[in-house]
Amino acid sequence: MSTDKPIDKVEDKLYGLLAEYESPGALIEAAREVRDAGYTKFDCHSPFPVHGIDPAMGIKPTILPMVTWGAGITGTGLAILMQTWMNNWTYPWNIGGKPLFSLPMQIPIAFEVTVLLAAFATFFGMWGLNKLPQVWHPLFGNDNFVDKATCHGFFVAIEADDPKFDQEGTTATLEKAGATAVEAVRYETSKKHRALPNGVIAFMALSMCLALVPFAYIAKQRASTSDKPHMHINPNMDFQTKNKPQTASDMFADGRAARLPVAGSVARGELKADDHFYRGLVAGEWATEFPKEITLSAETMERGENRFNIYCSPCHGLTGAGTGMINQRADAVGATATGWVAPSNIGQESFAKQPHGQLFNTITHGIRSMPSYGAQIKEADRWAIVFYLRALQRSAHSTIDDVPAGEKPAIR
Amino acid sequence: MSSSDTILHSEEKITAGPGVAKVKSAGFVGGLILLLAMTGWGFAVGDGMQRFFHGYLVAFTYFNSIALGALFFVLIMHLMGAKWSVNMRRIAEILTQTFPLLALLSVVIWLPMLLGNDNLYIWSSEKFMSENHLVHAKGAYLNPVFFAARQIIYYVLWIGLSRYFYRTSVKQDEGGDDDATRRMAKWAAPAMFGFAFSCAFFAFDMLMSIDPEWFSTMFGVVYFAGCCISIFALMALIPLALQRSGRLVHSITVEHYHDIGKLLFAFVFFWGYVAFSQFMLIWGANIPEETGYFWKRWFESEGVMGIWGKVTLVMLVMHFLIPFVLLMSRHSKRKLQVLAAFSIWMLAWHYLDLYWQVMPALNNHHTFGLAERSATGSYIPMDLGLWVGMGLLFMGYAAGKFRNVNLIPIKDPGLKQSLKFENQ
Repeated sequence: MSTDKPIDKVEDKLYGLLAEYESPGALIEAAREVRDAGYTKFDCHSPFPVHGIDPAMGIKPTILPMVTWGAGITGTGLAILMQTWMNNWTYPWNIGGKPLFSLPMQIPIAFEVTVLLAAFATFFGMWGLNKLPQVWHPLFGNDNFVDKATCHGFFVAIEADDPKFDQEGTTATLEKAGATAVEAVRYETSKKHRALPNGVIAFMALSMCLALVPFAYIAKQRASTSDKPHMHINPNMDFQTKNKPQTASDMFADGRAARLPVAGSVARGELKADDHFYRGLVAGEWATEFPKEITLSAETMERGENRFNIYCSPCHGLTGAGTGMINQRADAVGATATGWVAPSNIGQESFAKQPHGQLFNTITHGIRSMPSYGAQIKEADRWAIVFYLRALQRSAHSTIDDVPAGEKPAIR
Repeated sequence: MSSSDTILHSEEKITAGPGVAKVKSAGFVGGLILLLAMTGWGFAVGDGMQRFFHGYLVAFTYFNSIALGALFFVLIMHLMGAKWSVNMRRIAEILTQTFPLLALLSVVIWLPMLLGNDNLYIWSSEKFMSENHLVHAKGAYLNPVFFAARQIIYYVLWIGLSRYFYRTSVKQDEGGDDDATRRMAKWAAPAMFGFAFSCAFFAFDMLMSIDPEWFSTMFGVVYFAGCCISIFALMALIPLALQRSGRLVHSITVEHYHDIGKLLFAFVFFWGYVAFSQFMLIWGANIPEETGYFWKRWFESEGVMGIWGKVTLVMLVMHFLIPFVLLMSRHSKRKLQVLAAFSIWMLAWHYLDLYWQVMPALNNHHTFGLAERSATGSYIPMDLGLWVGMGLLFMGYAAGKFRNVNLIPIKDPGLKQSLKFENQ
């Protein structure tokens, strides 16, 4: 539709003036002059982004980066929430003994969702800020614009809505800025003109219907039964060439697929090569010193007391005198007469003389009717208990002189 | 091509001032004194040489990463036909001229090994290789002779490449031969292949083999990320320093710094991406011979996080999260004080990155015990002394290369576009 000729429809309205320029440089120059002339409602059109057009037109920096940032952060948060919800509440599943909330494994998904939301926000945010799509934009009615704007034309369009717009003055401004041609652009105001073509509507309707087909198929399959075996979409994954535990295999002489570790294998961290720390031995003799890993501090002493009270005091009693609840009960029911071996008094002379390593060994393996505690109490804690035993042994031989002067009245 | 006067600003100073000679001699003297002092310390204390070699390896791979980054900068700009960076390319070209010094410094790593010293790489000990079944097959690759041969190959390649691109570019300054630009672009493609392989294998040899049982195909890329971080940080700092002394004041604008800042930001993220990818796959698969590497760099004993675990977290925050968030904005990249501050920041944390890779391997040299951890205490001044000493030596050597050469490729056909470059 050329606007040179008068249009004989009543709904026609002037959109504005369209000026053509020869080069990107001329376009920037023109944009600057139009801006300086005080116009605000105008736009530049070029086949490719022209560097420097934004400041020339006086456009403020876009807020789009903030939109992208916000969407990106939202994506990170949502992805982590989603995975936590799935892994911890709706479908908790132990994978390789890892905690249900395993942040490292959530990062890839969080990363992808961050990128996805940021990209969508940028793309659609750009549409929103530019008020796209504008398939009925008045300039599309101009043949010259349609021919050149996407290949080799550089245009400035000033809208008639601009407060400074008047057809003759604006034309003069544009021509003064070096326009090779200036023409008025008119458009039809009727809604009918803006309607989408029937073909486009039909295509959209059809693709929407087709998009529902997979869901309809899934719904049908879920609601019905079938006597056929299920489909194998990925046979490589369904039928893997691997051996499962408890199955047969021709590869090995004994015909079993499951194999034992190589003889002499030690799991990482289980070598326990340090005789002193793990066995209480130094050069084959009971250690008389604590191992270097144990710090002889008030903290260790408290740890030892804590462990002693949990594991040892039921039999040996809180003071180590062998008068724990179990022993009291055994006495009460008369078990002593029928072979109950009373727990030892840890404070007695013979134990006080035992080296640290021997006491450690007794805790680890037990002695006489005392069971072994090696499985329940870790090495460092066993050493802490030995440390505490030394304190108990000292207290068994304490006299009133050991009590600080200030505390004596309280004891009497 | 028109003469340089019409392109560059008429009052532009394009050669370095007399200051570089001072930097050169001060760097050489200070660097050599420090390095010798640290060597003396290493010899004087019981297991000091073991620590010396580890600290030396950190410092050496650090400065090698700068030169490699500079070579990458030159190659990628030629390969992509980048115009914006033409005005800065010469500075990178000059930095690649430090490879002869680095080749000399690398001898300290492999020569003692050839003479039977196994203080650094545990695989250079025959006892270890014969007793440790996990590394039998690697013996063909990990042995002192082949290691030394590979180092020589790398440095021959790097010195050759850096000389070709430097000399062709400098020669163009005289004649204004436009065809030289095309030739360099053509050779940049095969050179990039050579760079990629040599950079990755250098990282495998120098850094990854420090834990010989461990392996990661991502490792070379992590080192490459470090190379890029260090060069883009320096490509902000060196031009800023030159401009402060009155050089290139009209030719390098905030637009160029902005782009350098973008690349620094990109590689901060790239480092985080690849370093985490390496960790995540190993963490997820949980195979003993792979997790051992990270175990050592996290735990002190079973279930107890040690000093290296704290260092790992510090790196996550300092090397990645803080610069990632704060460098994201356009404003922080265009504000030159901020960009300079982050460049220095990244150069510092890049050192810690390499330190974190090398130092926990000291454990290899003691009997393997869970409760044992490497002695990070008293030797730290030695590590830092080696870093600073080698840094001074590197700076002095590089400063010498800045003399008698134009700081900008005055006859490059892309220079005009470069000077006019503006970001959108």
